[in-house]
Formats: sequence, C-alpha cells, structure tokens
Amino acid sequence: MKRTALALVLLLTAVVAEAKTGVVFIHGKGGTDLASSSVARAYWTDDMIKTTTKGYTIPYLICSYDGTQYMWVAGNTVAGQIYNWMNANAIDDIVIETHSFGGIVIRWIMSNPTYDSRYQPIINRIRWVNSIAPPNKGSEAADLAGTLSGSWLTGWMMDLVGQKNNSTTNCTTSSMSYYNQYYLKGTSGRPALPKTVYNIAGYGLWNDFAHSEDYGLATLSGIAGMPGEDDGMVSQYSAQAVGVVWFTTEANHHHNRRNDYRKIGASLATDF
Amino acid sequence: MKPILVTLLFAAPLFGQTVTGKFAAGETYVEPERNAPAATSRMFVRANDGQGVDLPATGQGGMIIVINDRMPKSARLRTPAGDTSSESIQHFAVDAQGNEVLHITNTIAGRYHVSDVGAGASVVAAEPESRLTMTTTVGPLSRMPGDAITLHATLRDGDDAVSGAQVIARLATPDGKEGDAIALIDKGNGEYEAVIAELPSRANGFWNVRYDAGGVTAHGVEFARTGSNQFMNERLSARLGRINSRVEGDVLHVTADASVMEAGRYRFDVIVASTPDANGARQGVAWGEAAQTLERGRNELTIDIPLAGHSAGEMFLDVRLLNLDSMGLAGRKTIDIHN
Repeated sequence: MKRTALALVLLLTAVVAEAKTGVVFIHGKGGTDLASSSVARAYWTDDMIKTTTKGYTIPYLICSYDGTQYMWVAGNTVAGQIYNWMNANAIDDIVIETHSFGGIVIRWIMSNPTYDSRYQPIINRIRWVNSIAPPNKGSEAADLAGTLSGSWLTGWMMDLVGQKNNSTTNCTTSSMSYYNQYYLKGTSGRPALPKTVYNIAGYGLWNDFAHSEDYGLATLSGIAGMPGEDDGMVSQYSAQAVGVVWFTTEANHHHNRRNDYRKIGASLATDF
Repeated sequence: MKPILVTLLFAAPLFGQTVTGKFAAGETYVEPERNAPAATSRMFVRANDGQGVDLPATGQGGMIIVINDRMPKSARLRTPAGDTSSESIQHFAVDAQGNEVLHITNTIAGRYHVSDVGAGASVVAAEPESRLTMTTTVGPLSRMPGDAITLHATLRDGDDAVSGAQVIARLATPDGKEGDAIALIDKGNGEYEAVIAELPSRANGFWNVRYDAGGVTAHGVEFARTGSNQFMNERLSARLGRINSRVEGDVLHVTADASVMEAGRYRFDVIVASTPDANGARQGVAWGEAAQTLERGRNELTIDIPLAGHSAGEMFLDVRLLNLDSMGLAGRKTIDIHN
C-alpha cells in the first residue's frame, strides 16, 4: 500500500516534471554467452519483458554482461549500457528489475558511486529497484562449488552449481559476508543504499513437473542444505537481507524470472 | 624548501572523490564479523577408488544420491541389506540427457554401495533430514599478511557432541590449487580445530577450505560429512598509520597516514558511530568515503564528514582503507574519540 502510494506520488511528480520513465532488466550469473543481447533476452523470456513493460509501451533496456565475472566487472558493463541508453533516450526515471546476481550487480553500483563516473548519474535517475531472488548474503548453492571442487560433475549439476568462476566465488556466503562488510551497503549495520530495494524471495521448488530441471533445483536445495525456505538457489533469508520485502513467490529460481509459473510480471508492471 | 619537503613526505592524493551520508535514526552500526559465516552440512562427497563407492547412511530420514559419471545409467546401488532393486530407491530424471538423481525415502543405518561407475566418478550424497551435522568456519575472514588461520569444525548428532571423528581440511588457492590434507585436532565436545601459522602460498583472493569428516556416533552409526568455507587472503598493498580527528562546528575532520606499497586507486572509508549502550550496541551516526589515487610511499588521507546535528561528544570511528584496483582491505583501525 505504501509502495503504491509512493508510486502515485512519483508518477504525478513525473508527469508534472515531464519525466520519461524506463525499465532496465539485469540478469543473474551464468555463462560468458550472457554477454550476448539475445541470450540475455532469452534469460528473461519475451513474456516477462512484454508483461512488465505493458506490451512494450514502456521504454526498456535488457542489460547483457559476461555472467562469469565479479560484480564490479559486470557493474561497469551494465553501467555503460544504462548510461548510454538513458542519455540517448532522455530517460530520467528508471525502475530496475534484477534477477539473482543481477541484484548484487546493481547493489555494487549503488554502493560505490565514486568507483566509476557513470555510477552517480545512473543512481540519480533510479526510482527504485525490484530485486528477484538476490543472494544478498550469498548462496549455499554457490558454496557447493567450493565443496565439490576437484570432483567431476555432470553437466546439469555444474550448470546449477556454477563453474568455480569469479561470479560463483562472488556469490558464496563467505564472499558476500566479506563484501557486505566492506564494499556493499544495505545490510543491517551498514550505511543504507541511496535508493530503495524491494525484494521478492522465492520459496517454491516443485513448480512444474513437466520440467525435469525442477528436480535438479530441488536436488540442489537438499544437497546444499539451505536454511529455511529457498527457491532452489537462493534462501529467503538471503534475498530479504537488503531492502523492503515486497512479496514472496512460489516460483522457483528458474521460473521466477520467466513469468511462466506463479507469474510476477504483472506485479512488476504496476510500477508504470 | 619546506613546502617541497612536505610535498615529498605526504604526496597529495590524486583525483579525489568524496561522498558522505548519515545513518537514519535508530540504525545500528555493526562491526565486521571476524570469521566466515558458519556453514552447516548434511552431505558428503566420495570419489570412486576403483572398488565402487561406499555411502554411510545414518538412518535418519532420506538420502539424495547424485552419481557424477559419464555413464551414470550403468551404476548400481546396493542397500546395507544387500538388495539392489529396493522399491524404496526412486529415480528422477534431471535433464534431457537422461541423467538421474536417486532418492531413498528412508535409509537403513549402514553402508550403501555404488558399483559399476567409471574411474574418476564422484558421488554426492545428502541426508537433508539427518540430525548429524558438521558446522564449519574459518577465521579471520579478512586475513592480513602474518595472521594465523584457524580452521574449525563442530560435529553434532542432534544435541550430542560427536567425538573421536577424523576431520581433515584442504586449502585451495584462489586459482584452485589444492594443498595437502590438514588434520583437525579433537578438542572435545565435538569441536575440532587446526591453526595454520603460514599459508602455503601468498596468492591473494578468496581461498577455499574444504572439510571432510568421518567417524562413528555414540550410537555406533557410521557417518561422513563434507563442507566448505572461504577466507580472503589480503594483499600487502598499503598500511594505515596514525589517525587524527577533530570536530569543527558540525563537521568531523579525519586524517590518516597511509604507507602505500602498491600505487593505485584506493578508498578511505570512515564510519562514525556512538559509544556503546548498555547492551553493547552502537548507533550509526554518519559515514564518508573518499576514493583517490595514491602514490607509492607515504600519503595523507583526509575526509570531512557532516555530523548532521549529532552531539560532538564521545564517538567511535571505524577507519578503513580499501584497494579498488585489486579488491581487498588494505587496512582497518578503530578509535574512540573524546571531544
């Protein structure tokens, strides 16, 4: 309710000031191929993008970056794309939608405004961030990459756990504890972020029995020993460690970005 | 002559950018955790030694088994009762290639055995409902050159401590080179520990610690557990020296000496907090960050932080120097100030 009221106030302000609103999608970690715009678009799916942008009526940008890199490397790539897009299109009111590690990438940008000259102008234009399943305190699934290091793993398990690359290292519970204490803002006991983050945590595992990948997520959850509720990759406590809880979703980590089970695209579209 | 000398002694930071802010009323400041967050494991990993793989089950609920083999469908699982076709073993496909996960609804305490798997195959087994846990940590999370590393594991069977187990740890460098096994000493009450004075290499970045435990509970049940943590091995790029502060009007001026071994981009961070209350909690007051390029040698760092009306009485400062070229903590000091 409070969020809706604030949105109305901002919308009215935007109308008075003739602000131009846009939406930016920032994906999570994955392979190097996520640097391709078509792969990044497929990550979100057309249905999620279409629903969130109300049939493509809201200007949007789908960021694409190498999904194997640390948050500061990804952050610079993403910042370059947002900076150019917002200036080229005179967008001065930006809603950010992130999934998984994308939530950490935008936290890096908002936490470190002096790191890159493009960060502060972007921060100034962000209205708020909607963060789907961000591993704010790390992911026990990412920890498995360390636990299983040296073991040969089949492709499906490696796909889920992630190669022991920089973005996976970035997402371990130990690394995120470190980064939260020194480089990132927004967790308890640290300075606040300059803009509000609304988090959406997943708690479902068995979403769609037609998708064998859901068995993989449920297996990973059982092996990783995630505390409390989780979406197969990120525990609820971790997703909710930064910002304001907007709502939770039964959609698991595969589905909560795709708008194909317990759809949340329509909820994201209420911002416009 | 004197100004030149001063310039040489204290090279002025280049390209400084500063941001400041304040904590909202009621927000607390929390000091960094010393150790990596504790990780609790109910799973273990075994590699095929040519004789198949034994999987000790605690008999406390189900078991998930993932056989990582290039020919996983040829693998055979035998229960402790010798049955290879038990109806309690379910197979779930997890991908389009036909890879499967095995799920045993309720295990029998004893050794399950996986056979007919290839050399180099690994088997991951988890007992999500088991009371038998291994909780591990490593500290310090931010390891400065010269700091000893403490590896710690706690074994519990419900509320009971598990003593007499064998717990080993292996350190791996940030680029994945694994070291020799390090035996943790049984300290009693289910606590196991090893202290390492020196790391086998100076490699900077996040090191991985993998723990493997095996033993028998007080009830005679065999078990195995595997877990991991990470710690940051900091590089010796700069040192924080003397810190001074003074309040003028509503602004806190903080200066610090920095001895820089590796020239580059750094950030001088200061967090201002109150003195602790009766419960030991400190209220956050304000913060400031000054990013700058530092030259090799001695540098003087300065930052001005508006106190936003906070009383200039007793305060606590958490002062940090962060490396921005190669992420890591170069130095951190805390001081109590009395104005």
